[in-house]
Amino acid sequence: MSAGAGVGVLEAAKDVTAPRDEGPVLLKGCDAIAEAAIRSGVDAYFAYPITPQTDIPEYLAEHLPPLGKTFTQANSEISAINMVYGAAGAGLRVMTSSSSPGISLKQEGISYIAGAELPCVIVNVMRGGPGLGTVYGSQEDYWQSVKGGGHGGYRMPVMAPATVQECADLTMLCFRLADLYRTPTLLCLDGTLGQMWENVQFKPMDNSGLPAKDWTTTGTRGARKPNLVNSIIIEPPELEAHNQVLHAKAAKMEQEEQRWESCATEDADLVIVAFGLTGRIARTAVEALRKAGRKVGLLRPISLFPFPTDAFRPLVKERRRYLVVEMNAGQMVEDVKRTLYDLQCLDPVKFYGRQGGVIPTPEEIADVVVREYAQGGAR
Amino acid sequence: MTATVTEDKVLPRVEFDAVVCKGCGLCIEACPEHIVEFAEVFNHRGVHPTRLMEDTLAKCTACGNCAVVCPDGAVTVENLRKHLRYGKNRLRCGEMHYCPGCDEGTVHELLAEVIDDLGIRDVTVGVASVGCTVFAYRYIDIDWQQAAHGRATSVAWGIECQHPELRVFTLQGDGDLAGIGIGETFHAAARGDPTVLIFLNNAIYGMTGGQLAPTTMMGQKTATSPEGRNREVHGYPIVMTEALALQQGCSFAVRATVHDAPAIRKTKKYIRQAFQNQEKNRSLSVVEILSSCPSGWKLEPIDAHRYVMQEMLKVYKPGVIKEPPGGMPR
Repeated sequence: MSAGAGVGVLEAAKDVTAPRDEGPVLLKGCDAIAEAAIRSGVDAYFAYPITPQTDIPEYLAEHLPPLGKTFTQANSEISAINMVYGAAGAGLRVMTSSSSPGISLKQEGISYIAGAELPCVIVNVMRGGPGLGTVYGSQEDYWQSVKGGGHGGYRMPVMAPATVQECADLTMLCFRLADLYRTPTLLCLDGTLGQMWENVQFKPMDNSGLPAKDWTTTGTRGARKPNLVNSIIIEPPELEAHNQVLHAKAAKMEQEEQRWESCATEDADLVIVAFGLTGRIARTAVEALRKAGRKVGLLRPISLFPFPTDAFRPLVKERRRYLVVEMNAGQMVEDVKRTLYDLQCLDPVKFYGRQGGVIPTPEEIADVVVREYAQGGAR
Repeated sequence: MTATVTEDKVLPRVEFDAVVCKGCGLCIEACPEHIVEFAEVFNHRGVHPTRLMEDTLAKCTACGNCAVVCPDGAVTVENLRKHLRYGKNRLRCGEMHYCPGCDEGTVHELLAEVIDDLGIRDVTVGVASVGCTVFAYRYIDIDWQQAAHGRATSVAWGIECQHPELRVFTLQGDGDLAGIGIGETFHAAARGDPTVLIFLNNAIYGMTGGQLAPTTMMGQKTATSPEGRNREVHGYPIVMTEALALQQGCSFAVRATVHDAPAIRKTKKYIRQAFQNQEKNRSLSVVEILSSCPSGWKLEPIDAHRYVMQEMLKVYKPGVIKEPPGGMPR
């Protein structure tokens, strides 16, 4: 269950970041995340089984222990996220994964991790809710992911892949951002993408410019004053100062970590805004509509927090219409409207969505767009 | 208030810190020579600090009991003849937030002494929990993590999973360990984590003002069992340490008290054994310490210790519950 005595974290990390094999490999989304975690140098992974993310713990149960890394199946998601807290506080590169109801259970721990400024990666392979809902993929955790989820008003980077390749790339990015900002990060994907098989080309982990971890609790070794990993700050002015530091970090993320993909938006008079799997489906719809002569584009947010407001800056110079498509009842709509409002743009924003694990088809989305045109909504 | 060392060189050095003293009076009860008393003056806390009676130093046998029972490290006794010192350990820091006479201060002292004695300060990481021990990290000068309520053992496993060289312990109350965190606690025992689990059982929720706890005894009155715990309303208390001892991954389980100086000395031995077992055995060690909660129990500190002796020990039997394979660590 644990590495041999004296194996330092950094020393061990070197071993696993060595190339395992070159060239593209065929993997499902969940496995690509797990493999990317290994290639990112993950030291410890803690989770509890829940559909549809269970491929991740199964993959890591097989591949982590031979590397001398920790795989622990915890007694609950609550326990797992608190193991993440302890391990991250001890300087490990650490990950947990779950699906929607399990992520709800982790929220208290994520709040503590945010408060204590601990770097870690949390993966949510989303399924339909609320409650036990369904095991089929969904995007109904957008609000939970980007608006806090747990208590206390923290923010953290939230990345939403649309391909298996992005599952791998964004997992590595999440590890990087976690260490760069000393923050929990969330990789947020639809359950369907977790089960999709595609070729993946793994890239090397970028550890450049990451700050030294001089705050970890690994014993003072007679070399420094004791460290404390903590989220309790009783005195209001002190907590206020701490929260200002946290929100300054979030503001920096908003400046520097926005990510999106734009497709045929320049001349578009209607722009579909969709993330994750829905963004991928909408892309197919856009391609079909373009062939039919409709000037339709796609804006796919990859970072859900920070929301890619900069992507809208060039768009608002012209009058357009916006159609937000999600696999929920319209959660990202408010961020699109807020962004346009902040850019003093009053262009109309419509929404189309499916819920409960129902996946919209490209034809369905194209039909909605055509109806918009028929109503004179788009020029 | 320092007792003067007289011309007689074998007289002990005894010091009562009137500023730190919370006036619990446990040292008065502990002195076999009955030479400790409350001062007439008030200190800044508004309590009468204790002191050695005037001209009684010659009677002092330097047994150190007054220092051993002081939860706040306010008393120091030096036996100059035997070169023995009783009082606050050098790893202790900060002024404790605990109520007067609370045993948790005493347990902090024992932990500091054991960590210091074993020379493991540099590799020890403590895990503070939620409850009265929430600020435990302020009082022992080592690395600490502060865990969410009930999750201390999970946090501990996170710390030690890739760091087998670290000596990790948790400090948890009964609500944290046997209430909200019972799942985490049992699974730490089932996994056989190498954690030392210090379980402070005062049969009440102290921090929130004295409500019913999982270990509240039948008939015991609390803020949420005003007529006393009864089966119909509250169910039965959980006997935790015996249950943990049943798990294969728990290698050492013991129940102790700190209600008087001999009990405190015995408890220190158990804590030391737990840390020694951690080094040799690397499987969960549990030290349950029956602790008084004078504020929650609405008793004077001395009466609270009598309650531990007379009531708690009837329900929670002291002694070694499970020995590690190969016997007790030496």
